[in-house]
Parts: sequence; C-alpha cells; structure tokens
Amino acid sequence: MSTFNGVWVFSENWDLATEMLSKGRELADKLQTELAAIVLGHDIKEQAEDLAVYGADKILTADNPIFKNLQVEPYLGALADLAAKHKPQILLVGSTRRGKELAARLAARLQTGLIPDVVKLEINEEKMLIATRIVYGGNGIAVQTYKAKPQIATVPPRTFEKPKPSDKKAEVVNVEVKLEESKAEVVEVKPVEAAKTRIEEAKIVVCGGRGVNKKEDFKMFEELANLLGGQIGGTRPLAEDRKWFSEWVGLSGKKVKPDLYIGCGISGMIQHVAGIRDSRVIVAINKDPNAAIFEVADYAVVGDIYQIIPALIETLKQTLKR
Amino acid sequence: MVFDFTETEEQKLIVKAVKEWCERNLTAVRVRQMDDKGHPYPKDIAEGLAKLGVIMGTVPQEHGGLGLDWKTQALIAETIGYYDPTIATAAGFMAVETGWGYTIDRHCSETVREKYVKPAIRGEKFIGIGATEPVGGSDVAGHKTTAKMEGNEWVLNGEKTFISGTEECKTWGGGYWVNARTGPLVPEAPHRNITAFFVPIDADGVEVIEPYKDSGRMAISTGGFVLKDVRLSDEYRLGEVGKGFYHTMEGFDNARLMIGASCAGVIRRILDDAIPYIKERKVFGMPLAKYEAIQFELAEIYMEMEALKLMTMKTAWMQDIRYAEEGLTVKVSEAKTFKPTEVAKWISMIKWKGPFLALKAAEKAMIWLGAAGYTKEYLFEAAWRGVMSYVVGAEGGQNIQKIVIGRELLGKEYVPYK
Amino acid sequence: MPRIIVCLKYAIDVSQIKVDSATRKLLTADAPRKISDFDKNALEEAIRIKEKHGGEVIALTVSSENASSALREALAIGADKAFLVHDSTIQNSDTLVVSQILAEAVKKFGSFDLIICGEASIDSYSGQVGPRLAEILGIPAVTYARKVGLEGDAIIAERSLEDFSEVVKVKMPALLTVTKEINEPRVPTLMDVLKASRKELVKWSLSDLGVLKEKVEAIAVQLLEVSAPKVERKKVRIEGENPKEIADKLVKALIQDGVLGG
Repeated sequence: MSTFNGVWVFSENWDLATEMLSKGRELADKLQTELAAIVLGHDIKEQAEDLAVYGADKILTADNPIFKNLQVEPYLGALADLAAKHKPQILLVGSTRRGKELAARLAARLQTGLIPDVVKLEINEEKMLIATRIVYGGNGIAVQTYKAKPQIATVPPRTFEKPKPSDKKAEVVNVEVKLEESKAEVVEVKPVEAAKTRIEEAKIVVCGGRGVNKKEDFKMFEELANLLGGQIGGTRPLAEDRKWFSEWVGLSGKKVKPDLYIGCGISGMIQHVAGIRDSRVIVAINKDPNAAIFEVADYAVVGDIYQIIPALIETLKQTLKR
Repeated sequence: MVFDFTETEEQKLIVKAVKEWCERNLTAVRVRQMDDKGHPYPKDIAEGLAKLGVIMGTVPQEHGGLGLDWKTQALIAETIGYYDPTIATAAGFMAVETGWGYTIDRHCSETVREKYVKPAIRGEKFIGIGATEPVGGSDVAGHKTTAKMEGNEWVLNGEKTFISGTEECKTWGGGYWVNARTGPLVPEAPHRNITAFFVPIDADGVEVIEPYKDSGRMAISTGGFVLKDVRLSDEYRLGEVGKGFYHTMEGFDNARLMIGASCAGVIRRILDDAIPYIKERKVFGMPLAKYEAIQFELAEIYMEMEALKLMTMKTAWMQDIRYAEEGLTVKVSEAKTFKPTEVAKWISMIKWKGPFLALKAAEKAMIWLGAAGYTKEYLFEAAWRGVMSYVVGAEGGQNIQKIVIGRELLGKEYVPYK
Repeated sequence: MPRIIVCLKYAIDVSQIKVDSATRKLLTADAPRKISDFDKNALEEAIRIKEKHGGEVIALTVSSENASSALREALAIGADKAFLVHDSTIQNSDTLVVSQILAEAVKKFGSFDLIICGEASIDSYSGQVGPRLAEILGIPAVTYARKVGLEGDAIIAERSLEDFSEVVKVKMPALLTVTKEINEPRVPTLMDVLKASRKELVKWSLSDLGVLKEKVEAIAVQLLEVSAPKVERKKVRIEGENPKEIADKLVKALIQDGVLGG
C-alpha cells in the first residue's frame, strides 16, 4: 500500500500561490516531508523560476497552450494525474472562484475530502490536517479534519503572508501531465461591471459622519472604498441636516452588516450604532478620545481622519498592489 | 371539544408568501411615505395585493376568489396588519374589500359579480360599504336613505358620510353597498323593510363628496356621496327585499373579523419594533428592558395580544362552520350549529378588543421609547392614529360591540335601544 | 423542451441560530431551516428557462430532516415535481457523500438537460456539491453564472469571476451554479400555493436509491466542533508616532482578521 507524501500548493494566481508557500513550508516541516509548488500555464517558464525562491523544495511545472484560457478541466486533468502518480498528503489550492471549482472537482475525482476557505491550518498528533473556517454566514467557527487523502484545502487571498525570498532555490522540474480539454468554449471575456450591491449587502462599508467638513471630502472615502471593493455611506445628520445625501446608515435608515466597517468622524450615537452592530469588524477613527463609537469598535484610532485616511489609502495601495 | 391550533402546510406557505411579498413591497419606508402622502391608495400596491391573491380570498373559486376559509384569511389579515401598522391596507383591502366584498358576492346578481366583484378581486376596481349617514352611524335601522320602485327600476335618494375608499372608488371605478328603506317604518321593528343595493359610483345621480381630512390611515380615503334619484335595475339589489338589515349585519361580521385579525398583526409589529430599542437603550447604566415597569407592561400587552389571536381564530372557525352550515363555503364533516347572533357576540368581542389593544400598544411603545418613539422614525404614532379610527367607530363603535355582547348574555329584551 | 433538475438544500436559517451562552456552542439542531438562498435563485432561473423554452423543472433535495415543506414551497414557486431523499443517517455526511447520493437520484430520473444549483449553500458556503456532482456524472460544470441563455442544444452563460466576467458556451447535459445577481426569486401567489398541493412530491429513502450504509459512513471530512465567535468588541487602540505607522498597524491587523481577503 503506497503512502501519501508531500505538501503541494497550486493556484493560477501567482500571488496567492506564493502566499500559500509560507504555510506550506510550515506544514511540510512539521510532517518532515517535501513542499512542492505546481505551476501550470502557457509560457510560464519565468513565473516558475520566480516562484522557486519562496521556500518550496520542488517546482513541478507543465507548460502547454491548453492552460491558456485558465479553464478548470485542463488544470483538473493535470492535477489529478500528478496526484495519482505522486500521492501528496496535502494539497492547498488558491481559493479563487476557479480554484474553488477546480478543488471540488478534483476532490470528487480523487474521492477525497475538501475543506474550502480556511482561515487556519494545523497538524494534529495523528499527523492529519486540521482546518478552521467560518460558517453560518459568520455566526460560526468550524474546526474540521480529514478522513481521506489527499487532504485538499482552498486558501483565500491574504490568509497567509508571502514568505521572504530566500537564497535557496527550488528544483524546477518539467513534468508530463495528462492533457484534458475543456468542454466549455470561451466566447468572450469582459471587464466586470461594478456589482450594484445594496449597501445593506456590502461586504465593506466606509462611513463618514459629522467630523467630515465638506461633502467633497467624501472623495477620499470613495477612494478607500474602491480600493477595498466596498461602498460608502453617511450618518443621518449628513443627510437630514446638511442635505448631502438622501439616505443614511442607521437605525431609521439602512442597516449594514459588512465584514469590515470603517467609521470616520462618527461619534457613535445609538441610532447609528444600531445600524452597524452586526458588522464583523468595526474600525473607528475619531479625534475625540471619548467618542462613544470606541465602545463598540474592534480597532480604535484616535486621530484626524484627514491624516489617517490618506495614510490608510497609501498603505493599502502598497499591500494590495493596485 | 378539540382545538388543533396547528397551521396546515398550505396555511404556512400562504402566510410565508404574503410575508415575503410584504417584506418587498410594504416596507417601513413605503408605509411611512403612504401615510405622509395620503390617499388615494397606491394602485401598484393594490394590484400587487390582488395578484398575490389576498383580496377577497374567501370568495369561491367559481366566482374569481380562492375559496379560502376565514381562518386562513384571518392569518392573511394579521400579516397585512403587521406590515402596514397604520392599518390603511387592512382597512381598505381586508375589512372593506374582503369582508364586505365577500358578502356582496354572496347576495349579488351575476351582472354585479362580473362588472364589479371580479374586477375588484383583480385589483382593478374598488367595492366598499356605504353605511353611515349624516343622521348617524350606529343606528343602521334609523337611516334615511330610501329606495322606491318605479316601473322596473329602483330610485334611490339619500346621503352617505364617512365612507372608506370613496376617492379610490371614484378613481378606479367600482361601487358601494348601500342600504335603503323600501317599506314602511315599523316603530317596534325599525330594522324591517330595509333592502340592500349595490350602487355603482359612476351611476347617474351619484355625487361623490370631497374626502375628509382624516387624522390616520391616511393612505385610504374617507369621503361620502349623495344619491339624487339614482335609478338602478333590480339586478343591483343585494339579497332579499326587506332583509337588508340582516345582510348588513352579516357584512359587518365579516369586516369586523378582518379588523380584529389585522389588529393582532399591528400589535405584534409595534412590539417587534419597540423591543430591540428597549434592549439596546440604557438608562442609569441598565437597558430599559430590564426595568420591571417596562417589562411588566410589555408582558401584559403580549398576553392580551395572544388572547386576541386565539379569540380571532375561534371566531374565524365559528364563521367557517356557520357558513358551511348554510351549505355555502367550507365543507366540514360534523354539523354544528352556530347561530349568527352567537358568532356576532364573538365578533363584537374581537372588534372591541383589537383596536383598543392596538391603541394601548402604540401608546405604551411611545412612552417606553421616549422622545425617539415620539418621532416619525417609528410607525407608532401612525399606528395610533390609524387604529383610533376603529376605536371611534369605523365598522362599528366600541359601545355597539358591548351592546351586542350584552344582548347575547342577557337577552334581546335588555337591548337599550331598538 | 429542456428537463431541468434543481438541487435545493434544506439549509439552516443562519439568522435564527441561537447560542448557548455558557458553552458558546451553537444550537443548530433547534434552528429552523429553509431553502438555501442561492438555491432559490437556481429554482427561479430554471422556471424562467421553462417559461421561455418549455420543458420540466424537477426539484431535488437530500436531507437528514423532513424537508417536505420546503419542497412544497418549491412546487408553489413553480417546480413541476419534487423529490425528497430523506434519511436521518446522513446527518453527519460531508459533501463527498451528499453529492454521491444526489448523483444516484439524478441517475434514477434518467435523462436530463440541465442541473442547476446555487453557487454555494447559505449555511456552510462551501460551493462543492455542484462541481462534485458534475464530476461524478461526467458532465461539464459552469459555475458562478450571473446570466444564462439556451441556444439550441447548448447553454451560454456569463460567469462572474474576480476581475472579469467570462462568457462560455457548453453543450448540454451540463451543470450550472448561479450567483444571486442572476435574478430575483419570485414570491408565489396564493393560487400557486393552492395548486402546489396537487403537484407530485415523492419521498425516497436511501435504500430506494440503492445507497448502502457503508457509503454513507465513508465521509472524507469530519466536523470536530463548531462554536460561536466571540461577540465582545476587541477595543484595541491602534497608536503610532505618525499616521503611516498607524495605517500600517491597522492594515496588518485587518489582514490577520481576514476582512481584507478575497
């Protein structure tokens, strides 16, 4: 009976693949096994070489025009083939939409388990992978483990930090893989139109309050929100008194439940707080150290929004590379 | 005696569908807008309600309705009351159109059914009750409108005031249930010799009076109309000649059942809006909800609301059996006998209890929430203004309800007035 | 005249889950259930396709609970027939097992043109069952569709991917998963609800499908525990010498919390 060995990492998104290598290295070291990154694509020799400095022992690469359109079946065919041949014990797949579909089909093909969108990965005493993920729409944290191998998990972007490049370079190995054609014909690829989500359903909300001096100042909130893929909102006084907007976030207005809420120059009156209570993480920025909003914030920044927000935008531009 | 309060799977799905529709279309913002703007009732919502199937659901399927029983229709009315606590929607479409519309359908000709009842079910026209007169409301038998047979036509003369929906009726088309004296007044029995008619709002001689400036349920109008030699063929008579009073009492029963049921929804809505605030808001370091004074009042209103709901369900159950007994709507396996007057006693109880309790709930909610509850950010004040119309007398004054109950307990000879 | 199978999950209504305040355990067994939100989009899309092209819509649910009311709702919304595979033994099943059971049910239907699923379930949001089912049945999958049309014997779908959308053409039989942007699920009318009582709702047990106990027990993923996240706000003061330092610290913390993720 052949045993499973090795930790593998794969994503069609190079940044994500790099990030997963840091966790991959940690898991491989714990299991005293090899870490390999699978690189599949067309004309990707350079990317494969670039990836080699981030801690993997091997880079297994297959370069073929079949991978050009980033369709799932070619990746599926190649990974299933490699997995059957080499039997990795753990396979981390980047959790892009393509990655999630790929991982699920792969798990079905290999008759094994998949735990998607993990926030934490650990090895237990039985040398099996334990994964933590968020379930029930944010109301639950689930800890799961595997009863079959390979143990497949998908990892969302920025769950793990990119490792520092090392002097040690991985061995880049060209591999033969089964070539499986996609049954889908790609007719068109078009840039995505801004999803017109309602603010009540937005995953990220940046809100301004009375601490904002001019309506034009909302431009910086817009910039911040756009960087984060979120939406902007205002408090009721900005709508009713200053007549800057027709809607507002609060008890009598829109109630939001984003993953991230950033309140800028907002004092935190109960009417507003009632509308943001269900946010997963609340960040509050206000000049007044005694602002009521700090009672309900996860992260409190006592400062001038006109200095903090631009700084935040800069840092995010760096981090998100946009 | 076995009472099974379990909702059937079908009733659950019906209530769910009504809830989902209301969540999308009768939002708090929309309801506030409707109350602020006032009548006429928005046609798009009326048509939506009609398409959903909540208007006149108890009318048999052969006549264009859904053939629902009153228990199910009461659950629908409760849901409508919940989503529009100003009670305007329940007033126009549950009480007037469903309660009275069903009764009109029971007693009308095929002509009236095709021209008015079926279109009203589809949300195209508005049919209602024109009972109150300048001389008074409660004393139905004392009304002055007359109808004389001339040739083969009835000629009606009279005036009706404080009538719900006249603006809507005038704009969309439709008509009213109108009682008229068609025979001599018998002093010991003034309720005899009254006949009911369906008067199309656009009939020659019908003059619609400008609506009043109501204080509540603003989205539905309250106006009146004058009848000057209005000629109607006998096809427009409702029910039997001379039996109009009894048919009218039947109409009031159905409408009042709908009001009682709607109020249960209004009360539940008021509590659901108030409770999050009192749990959140702190005073002297403690949430309002922890103070016994507030908790006790909340408990009391809740208990009374549940009592109202149970009474409403029993009343609807009795109404279903009473109609089944007449071999008309719902089929039941065991024959029971509920005299109309016995059902009327229950109906009077819920018609009295519902609006009064809703009024109290609205008032208490405002007091618990303080200044915030006093603002128009909440619908408490709109609910208070709306249900007050049913306390002061729409569909029957409170004291009339008490007389009905007294009569059933003590005997007809104790009715203070004829 | 396509034959469309819609897979509906009888999911936990996550907005109604209560927590045991002492142990922080989630009382999921008592939580009410409903048709998973994205599956309603799937059902709506199936009905729209039928309204345009004719055919038949079959609703299918596999559950350890009695999901009859949900399937009756699906019939009210517009499905022609509904099938429920109900067996309490699948309570701890993972997506590997559930997709296999679904596949057996699909095979029992015989032919089909399209299977439509929601992009993921509202309670576990794992998004696996659709693609797994496609793999088992050997049909192509088109995931994250926000717009779908039929053209002859193929479907044309616009897929929502991270930075762009992709229009693909795939020959049927195929499996589709849909996003909630694809449509707004209809509210059934009361007449639809009354009609639903007369539509066919069939219940199958696992033995009706020939699924053996061993297969159900052969799960690949096991849940160890699920608990409620801490509710108290962290109230962490982010301080620094200058705005940049503060911004850097804040962003780092937010990345760690996973709220800046994809």
